[in-house]
Formats: sequence, C-alpha cells, structure tokens
Amino acid sequence: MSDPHEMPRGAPAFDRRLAELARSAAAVARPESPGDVRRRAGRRTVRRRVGTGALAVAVLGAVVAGGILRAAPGNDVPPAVTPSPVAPPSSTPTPTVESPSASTSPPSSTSPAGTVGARPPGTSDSAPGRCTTANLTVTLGAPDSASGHRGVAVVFRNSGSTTCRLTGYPGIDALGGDGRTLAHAERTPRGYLGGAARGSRPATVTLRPDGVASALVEAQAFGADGASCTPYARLLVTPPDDVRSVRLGWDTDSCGDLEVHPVVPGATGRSG
Amino acid sequence: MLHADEFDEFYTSTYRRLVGQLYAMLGDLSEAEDAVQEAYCRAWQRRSKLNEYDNPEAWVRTVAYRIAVSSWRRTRNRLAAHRRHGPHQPVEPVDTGDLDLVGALSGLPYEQRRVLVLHHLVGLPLADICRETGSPLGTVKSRLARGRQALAQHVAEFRGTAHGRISEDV
Repeated sequence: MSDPHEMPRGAPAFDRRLAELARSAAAVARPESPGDVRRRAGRRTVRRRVGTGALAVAVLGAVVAGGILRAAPGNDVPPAVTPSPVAPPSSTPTPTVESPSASTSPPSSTSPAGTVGARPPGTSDSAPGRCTTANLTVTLGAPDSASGHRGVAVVFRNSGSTTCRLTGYPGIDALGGDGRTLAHAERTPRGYLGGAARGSRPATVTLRPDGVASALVEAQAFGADGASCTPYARLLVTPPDDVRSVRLGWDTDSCGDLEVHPVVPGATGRSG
Repeated sequence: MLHADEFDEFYTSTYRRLVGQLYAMLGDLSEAEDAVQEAYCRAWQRRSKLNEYDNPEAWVRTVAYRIAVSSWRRTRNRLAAHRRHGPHQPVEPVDTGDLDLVGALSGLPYEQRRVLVLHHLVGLPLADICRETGSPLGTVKSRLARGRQALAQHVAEFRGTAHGRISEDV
C-alpha cells in the first residue's frame, strides 16, 4: 500500500477508498463451505443468483453457450437416439434397439401410454422379475445441456410381455471414437442436471410391458483442468444387475466427470 | 499436492479477500463471487499442481479474473445485437457509501482497472503485476498511468499525475 501521508488533506486516499470498497463487498460475500467447493469441483457451474442484472446476462450467455436450454421437466418422451453408425452392435449380445424412425419424433411429442406404465403399480403384480437386456430396449433420450454440463437420459423400455423391475444404477462407460474406454461413470444420486429425488433411496421401478424408466447420465464439456479434451463418442450401458451391455452413440462434446444417477420412472432421468 | 484440510484452510482464509479484490476489478459482486468460487473449484481440481505455483492466492485471483472477463466477453459478443447502448452497467449490490469511486471505476477499461486494483489494493509491485497479467512492464505502467488520469476528477491525489511518476517500490 502506498503512503497515506502523500495524499492531499481532506480527500481519502485512493488506496483507502479502494480498500473500503473491497471490504464492503467481502463483508456481504456468501462463501460456501470449503467441503462443498471440493465436492462441487469438477462441476463447473455458474452459480445463479436472481436480482443482479449483470449476472443474469452472464448466466444467459453461459446457457446460450451451452447450446440447448434444459428440457422442460414433464412426461414428454424424448426421441430415441439410434446407435452411432460407427458402433454397430458388436459380438457382445445386445438387446434390440429402437428403430431409426423413432429418432425423427420431436422432443415435445406427447407421451405415449408407455410412460404411465413406468409407475410402480399398486399390489396387482406379485414380485415381478428383474428387467434384463433380454426384455429391455435401451435408447438415449434427447441431449440436455447447461453451463458446461451435458446430460442424456438412458431410457429403458420394457419390450417384453411381462412386468419386470429395475433398481439402482446402470453401469455406464464412455467410449472414444476408437472404441477405447475413456471413463467409468461415478454413481451419484443426483447431479447438476437432475437425478433421483433429494433424500430418497434408489427406488425400485416396476415396468409393465412398454413401460419406461430412465437414468440420467451427465458429464462436462471440459477436462479436469478446464481444458478441452477428447469427447465421448459412445456410452456402454449395462442395465442394473445385468451383465450384458449395449453401445449407444452420444453426440456430445463432453469429456470429463462422467456421472450416472439412479433409475427413475419416466423417460427424463429426473424425479422429485 | 494440496490436501483437503490445507485447501479448506486456504479457502477459508482467502475467500473474502479475493472476492473483495475481484469486486474492485469487476464492479459486480455476483460476478466476482461466481468467478472466485469457480476458480477455487479449479484450484482443487489442480491440487496436484497447485504447490508448483509459488502463490496459490495469486493463481486463484488470476483465474477468477479470466473467468469473469471471458464470460463477460462471450456474453457481450452474443448479445451485442441486443445491447447497443453503451458499456456494461452492472447492478450495484454493495452499499459502500463511496458511489463516487464506484462510478469512476466503472468508466475504466477492465485492464486498466485491474492494474489499478493490483497495485493500489492488492499492493503488488510492478514486476508481480507484469507476471500476473502477462503484460510487459511498459504496458502495465501505461495502464496504471491512464487509469489514474481517468480517475483524476474523482481522486484528489491523482490530479496532476497525467505524466506522473509510477513508483516502482510499492
């Protein structure tokens, strides 16, 4: 700091005025706990606060930069995404994948009856069996993004003729364009873009024939140090409690901090 | 490698100071806090390397500044078509009482303001400002001089310093 005695009488020194300005800002700052910062690290968020115009503009910019506004929550079934053409079903036994024509339906299409079937039924079904790749059709929902986060719902549709149930987390690996595994998704109850309802334990979702459940996968469009990195090209999806996998193309620029959230009813990967 | 307890102590002991400094540079508290928060996140992500920086606090300040300005530039570019009405006019959430200074600072180009803050608030010597801003000494000096000149109307001691000396020893 420079010398206060240099300053003309009557006017506060610039240094002091500047320090006072900084102090008043620091006094009303609202720090998160350091533990929260560490936990949040890797989730590059722009914290949203209402009531400050400049920030609102900044956030708007970030969202615009993110590409697509978050899909409105609801019962809409996002279009199925067909597997990437460069990833034909390999020798690994894979379940059927929805026909390519499904990918042309807009995200806002009204939900078919199947969504309703995703709700756990009352008491009629007694102990239905597990859903496996044998009776599931696995697809990806519409991609979602916000502030550097990229998400997509992995949608499980009961393509069998009997009711089955799904519990917990699917296994998710991200593969590069050359087929190498780039990341294993960390299992977290929820993340920046959604997930299971707060405070709830992973629920068992009962799927009647044609019923739909989903798990949200999210990642970030940056590497751990904020730099760009090799984007994921495909997801290797293993339904909960299953050993068989299916590869699905994910057209994304994300490449870091892969997470998967539990299976929830409906096609959005979100509940609560 | 920075351990969790070291990071926590670093964060707790520097957060408010850095928010104050970034606020002085940016003029918007929310932007300052968001940028600082984000910079700490990145610091934790880079904890294996953070000790390589001789001054982690300066690292966080530098990264926070870049985050704020780059997001502001992005926003400005994208919204340029809708915002043709002059410079950035942040909402002023901080009641400092010194609205004169706030107003005067808000008229400065960001880089001039940054250098003024680094010199007069953070108290960095010019050599450190050069390092932190990645600018040569001549640039730093001229930004400092022009910033002072622009503030002269509001800051008594800057009057008559249009060609004034810039102390090297602060």
